[in-house]
Amino acid sequence: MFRPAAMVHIDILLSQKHLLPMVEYLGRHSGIHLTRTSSKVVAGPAHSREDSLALETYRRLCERISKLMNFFGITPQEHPATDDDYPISRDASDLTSQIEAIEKEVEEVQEVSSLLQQENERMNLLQRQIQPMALLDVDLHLFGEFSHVAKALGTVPNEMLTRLRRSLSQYHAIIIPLTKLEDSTVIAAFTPLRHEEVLRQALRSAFFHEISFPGRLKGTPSRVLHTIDEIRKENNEGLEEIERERKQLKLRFSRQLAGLWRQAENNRRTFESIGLFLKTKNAYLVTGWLPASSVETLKQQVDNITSGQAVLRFSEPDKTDREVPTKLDNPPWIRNFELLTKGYGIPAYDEHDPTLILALSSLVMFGAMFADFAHGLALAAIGLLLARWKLKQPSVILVSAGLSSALFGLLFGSIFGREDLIAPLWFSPMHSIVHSFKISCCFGAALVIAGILFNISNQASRGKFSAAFAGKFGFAGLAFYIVFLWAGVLMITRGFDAVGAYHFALLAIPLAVIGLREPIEAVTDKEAPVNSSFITICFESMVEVFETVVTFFSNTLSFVRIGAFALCHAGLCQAVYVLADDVAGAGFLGLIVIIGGNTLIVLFEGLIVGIQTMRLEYYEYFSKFFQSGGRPYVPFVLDETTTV
Amino acid sequence: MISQARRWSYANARLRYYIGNLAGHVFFSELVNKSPNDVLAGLAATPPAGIEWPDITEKSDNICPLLYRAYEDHFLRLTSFLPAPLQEYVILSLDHVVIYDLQLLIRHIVGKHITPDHREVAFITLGTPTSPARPASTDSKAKSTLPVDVTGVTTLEQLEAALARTPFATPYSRARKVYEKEGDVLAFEAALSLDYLRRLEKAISNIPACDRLGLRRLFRHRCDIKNLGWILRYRFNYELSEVEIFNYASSFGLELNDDIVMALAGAGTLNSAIETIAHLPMGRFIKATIAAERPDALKVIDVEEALEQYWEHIHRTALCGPPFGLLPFAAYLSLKEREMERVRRVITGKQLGLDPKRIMNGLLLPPEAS
Repeated sequence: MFRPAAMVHIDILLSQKHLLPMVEYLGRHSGIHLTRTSSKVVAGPAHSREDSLALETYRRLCERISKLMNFFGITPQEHPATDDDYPISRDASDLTSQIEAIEKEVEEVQEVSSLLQQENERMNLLQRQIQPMALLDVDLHLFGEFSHVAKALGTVPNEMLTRLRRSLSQYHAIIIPLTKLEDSTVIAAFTPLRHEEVLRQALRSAFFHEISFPGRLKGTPSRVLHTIDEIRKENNEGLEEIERERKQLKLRFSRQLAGLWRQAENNRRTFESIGLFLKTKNAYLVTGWLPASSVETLKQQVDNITSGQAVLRFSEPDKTDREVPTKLDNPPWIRNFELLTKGYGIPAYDEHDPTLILALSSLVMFGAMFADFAHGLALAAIGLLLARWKLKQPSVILVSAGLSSALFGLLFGSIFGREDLIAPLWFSPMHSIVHSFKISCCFGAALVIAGILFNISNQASRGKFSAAFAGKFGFAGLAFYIVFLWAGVLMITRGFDAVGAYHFALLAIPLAVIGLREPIEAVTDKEAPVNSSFITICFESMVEVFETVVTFFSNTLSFVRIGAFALCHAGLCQAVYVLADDVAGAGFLGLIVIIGGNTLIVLFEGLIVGIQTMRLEYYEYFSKFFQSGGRPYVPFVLDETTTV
Repeated sequence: MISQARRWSYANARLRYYIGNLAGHVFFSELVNKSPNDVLAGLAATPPAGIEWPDITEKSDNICPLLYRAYEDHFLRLTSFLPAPLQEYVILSLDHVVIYDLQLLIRHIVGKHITPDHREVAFITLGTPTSPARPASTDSKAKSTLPVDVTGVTTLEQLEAALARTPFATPYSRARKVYEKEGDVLAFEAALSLDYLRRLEKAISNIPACDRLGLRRLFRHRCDIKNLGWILRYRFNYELSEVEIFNYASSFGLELNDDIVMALAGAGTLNSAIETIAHLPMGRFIKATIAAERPDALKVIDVEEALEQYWEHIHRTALCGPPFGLLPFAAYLSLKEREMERVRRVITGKQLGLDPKRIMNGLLLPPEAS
């Protein structure tokens, strides 16, 4: 729980004939985190020719199946995986023929749909072009029957219109702009018939595009527009028919396609992973990391699959090795809070996992800052909604935060922002302000101490004894902080006189140790100090000491905000009720104000409190010990539904 | 003025060094007189100023892309300090080679001389099989290459799909419609070139006022030169009609207004076309440059060579303008591109075994200062 899962490095040397069944097992059950095999061993190219071809084939098959699934609007998750999804094979012919059969059935539907949509787009464009002429009571086809006039009806790019006019200025041409579209203008152009060729040349060089009417579009512009509407209506009916056909095809092929996709995807991942392995003519070397708890199972399965012909080698990792993937090992409920831990970074393999303390402390802080029974339950209800959208981790976090708020609402006696409906089981922050600040600081001090303890443990396990002992967040820092708190409590409870000289001495000793950390480091860690000048060392020590005092002081006071936000929450709620009473009065309007105000408080204040909680966690707690930089543990899986 | 001086003085000092070291007569005459085997070695040992010479060998089939990228790197390093609108303008002004490459690709597709590996097309920037296209870049220092990979494109339809999300999509699509209806290949060239000039003009509009005036003037001179070259080609090589020539010309020119363009489009002979612009500074320069040619032997290519020299002339003149601004940089970029073109001509000429004197004449170097 406080440490990532122990990992073991594994090498498996096996023959080619056992490769595919082995990879299938590794992808379905093992939980191995595959790595690229070291190039220290001389070997051939990553993929054999057959494997390369297979990989390419399955990649293309995945694309084809994805296109089909997009057409039907289906996802593989709609149908659960079965054992039929797993035959791993270099031969994709069966899969290919199944896909081809489906594509053949779908092709016609797709074509017709595409044609109808294109026709609709064309009709839309024609409509935009003809709409301005709607009031003209002239048959558009008569336009083509002028016998003494050369004419043209179409569009010209806007930037060419002036030039076109100028080019035809000597030819008695008439250019009538009819409507301006986005980047072109619909024009009607006329010249005497003897200049027909000139008109044609001018229009061509002005990138003129003639508007052509399909045979059905006859009559006046208004008649043509009416016909366009009819055509669009027919097309839309056709599209609806196509849609019905598509849905029927979807029912027929949905399950099959999901299965085919899984099969292709599993094979693709298999052959992709084979690219990580080193190979010789007949053997493959598979390397990776495995949780220590899975080692025995893997050994047995490898023996079964390869009939004892594979060679396995296991080795413990060097704890400081940054290549070891980090698998966090928390109970199921706490696991949801790993989302928050990973928001800061992945713990290194040799670091403590802060998730458990993060989960508990964040819930306490959130609950205290957002204490209201009803608001908490509302938040929990929102969290349950998230679960419907398959956002499991955020849902659990929000529901937990909501329940914590509800609990603290009972402890502080607040429901729907009213503090006069139920008696507090503990105390009311509005009536015990200083008390709430004191408790906040105590909680914060406990969290800071937990962070320092983690740091001492981390540094010691890395062999950095100077940091563990003499560091700002080491033993010396811890000693200073505890004495600091003790002196602080004495001062508050009994006055300045209660703090004696020995308190200052007890504060000074650890500070001196912190100041002398560099020379201590040179002795214990056998590391030469970076700066050997005496004055520089003195100066740096003074800065370190000063920073230590300020940091601990500010870290502790930072938690006062818990009490402050608790007050803020209560105060905001009171303001809503005052507003409802004084401004809106009793009755319906007042009720609106109350409901609206409470909703606003739940949403916005909930968000702000959440941010403040994470700020306290990351800055006051994590910063004591968390270095992150860990590599995420990504088990090799062939199917996302595989449980490892 | 003081703030301009503060902003530009260091960069301008560097620029003046490079201007002073633009490759001239001495550089090129030494180069053309080397043996074919020694030219590349000579360039590698003593490249033009500011250029990190790329690994070009005699067997390289991608001299243009390698050369262009070396020059482009120099341009971008020199102008890396510029704020965004000015950087954008510099990068866009280098994009004319991308337009050139696209037009080349289209000609090959339309002429059905294209294979998927584009081996037969001598791109400058789009890449060849041994020097593939740069990947798309979306960062602020995006290079002036086509932002998509067009290797494998062999049809107009494929090219339209490849260009879908680029600035070339709209003009290409319009030109393709015209081509498919009327079979006019020039529609592609005109559409892409005119659209490019429009985008360049728009980029100038986004530049701060202190730099805008000089750059706009230079840009309009360039449009004049392009217009004249196009007009003469369309009129005398492709025999297009007046209206087509007029529409395919740019409207951004300084000296060539609409009336002059119309007159040029309707000119009977090349000599009468030159006479039409004889009263303009450009016309006077051209007349003086082609004075040696016999009137009946004058060809469009002679005028185009004169226009190249006029191009160089106006950019050298721009170098004499106000030093603290983008104008000298813009002028220098063009002159440096001319230098790159000359280097390419020397390399190509030597590979073809041409006479040094002929190569030297083809470089069209400005007259030496006495």
